[in-house]
Amino acid sequence: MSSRLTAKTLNGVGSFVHQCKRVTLRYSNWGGSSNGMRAFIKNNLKDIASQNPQIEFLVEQKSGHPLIRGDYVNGRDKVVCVRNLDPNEIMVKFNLTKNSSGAKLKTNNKPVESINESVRGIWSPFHIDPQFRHKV
Amino acid sequence: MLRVSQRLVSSRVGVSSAVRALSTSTACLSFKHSQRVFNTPQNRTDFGSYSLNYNPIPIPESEANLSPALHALRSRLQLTNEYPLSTLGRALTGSKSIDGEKYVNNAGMAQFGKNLINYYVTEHFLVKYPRLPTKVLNEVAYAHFSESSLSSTSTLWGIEVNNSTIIDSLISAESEQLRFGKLRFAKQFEDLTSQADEGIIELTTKDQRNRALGETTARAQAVQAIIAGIYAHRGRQAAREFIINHLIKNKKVDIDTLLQFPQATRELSRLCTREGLESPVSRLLAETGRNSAAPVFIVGVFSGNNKLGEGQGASLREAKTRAAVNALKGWYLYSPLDVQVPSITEADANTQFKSVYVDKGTVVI
Repeated sequence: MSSRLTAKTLNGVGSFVHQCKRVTLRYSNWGGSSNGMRAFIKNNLKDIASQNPQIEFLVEQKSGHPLIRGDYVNGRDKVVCVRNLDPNEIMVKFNLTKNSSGAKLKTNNKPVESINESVRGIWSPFHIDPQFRHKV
Repeated sequence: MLRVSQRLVSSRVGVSSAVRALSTSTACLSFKHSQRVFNTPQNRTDFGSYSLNYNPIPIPESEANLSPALHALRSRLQLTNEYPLSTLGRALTGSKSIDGEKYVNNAGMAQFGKNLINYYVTEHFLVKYPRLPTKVLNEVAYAHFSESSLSSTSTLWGIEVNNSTIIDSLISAESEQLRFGKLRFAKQFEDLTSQADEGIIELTTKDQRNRALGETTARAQAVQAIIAGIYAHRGRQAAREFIINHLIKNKKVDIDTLLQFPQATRELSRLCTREGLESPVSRLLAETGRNSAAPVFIVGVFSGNNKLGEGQGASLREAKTRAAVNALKGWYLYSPLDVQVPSITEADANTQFKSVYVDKGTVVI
């Protein structure tokens, strides 16, 4: 049975499912590096949570530096340390976490990557007019 | 005397009342250790008198409302507020769930959702590729609604499996609502045995009965159940659109890799005869390095002046076969433009269904 074909899923074709499923905001109750995070949770979190209903928010209190952690549908997570950052900077980091797909970072060397075959086909020396073909 | 096993009785109840099971309590098996789920009547063949000996309750909406994961999942799938979270929570309760005794599970919903998915997927490909051989058509449809495909869809939707055991949750004093947002099912059973009564012959083997639900199956059933929930709360049209967008449009299968032609040139020749075309002739179009270690031949297959296909190969024979395969793929993968599936009339009652192209069938070699 396992040898039978399974269709590949293309997120974004026909339907799109947001890849970031959970965001954890960790802060310390007394640490100075958590000042910005505490203000962020107090002032911004309510709005952010109502603007992003597709994400589950988790607020965690733990000593140490504050961090933002994103859990993604592919099973991976991304952790960003936000020590000593002010709420605006934390917002940038939050958006980064939210908009990420959770996939490992990689360099794209080709302008287009696709699992579809090229509609033009690949160039062939045999399909040009014989008089213009390269002669050995 | 008519003899049945308990398993047969239960599956009969589950299938025949797939739709009704959406509103009533489920009839699926949920064996506990040597505890019967069904009250057996005196007369064993009186199937109407079998009854459940436990009464599962639906997850209360107020409880489900407290689960952040359920809110997020509903929003992620754009199920709208018409879709109650209690239904979503039920869809994530596996048919062999650990709290299957307490809450209604998704067995009835999954069965109904499965039928919906199978119908719309099959209809789509039947109309889109009218010339595909039946075996290939089935395989293409299967690639879309198989358990492994639906399971990968559930992963994309961000459905998580509840990995904490009952003891874990008791120790950590985790609130019950937190578990509602996760897929709950029993991963393994020590023993699911129910002893057969006297005069009853068991038709299913012990291994079959004791098989716990695999994660793939549980995930697939959750997807099927969610779709059944859309049908129940938002109607057939919404369910149809959801299936098309989430299970058909965003899936890709290379159908041409499924086609195999053991006797390609012969099949093409028969096809041309059947369709009243001139018999196919292979012609060499281009070549290089005939006497070298790496020759390349380009062969076209023609019917009269029409080129049916083209192939390349390191030998004339290979190129010729590839050309015939190319021509046959062109024939079998024909996809008419502007087709309508029969269920289009569900979307708009005024739409008149245009009859679709029906092919003569595959070539008999």
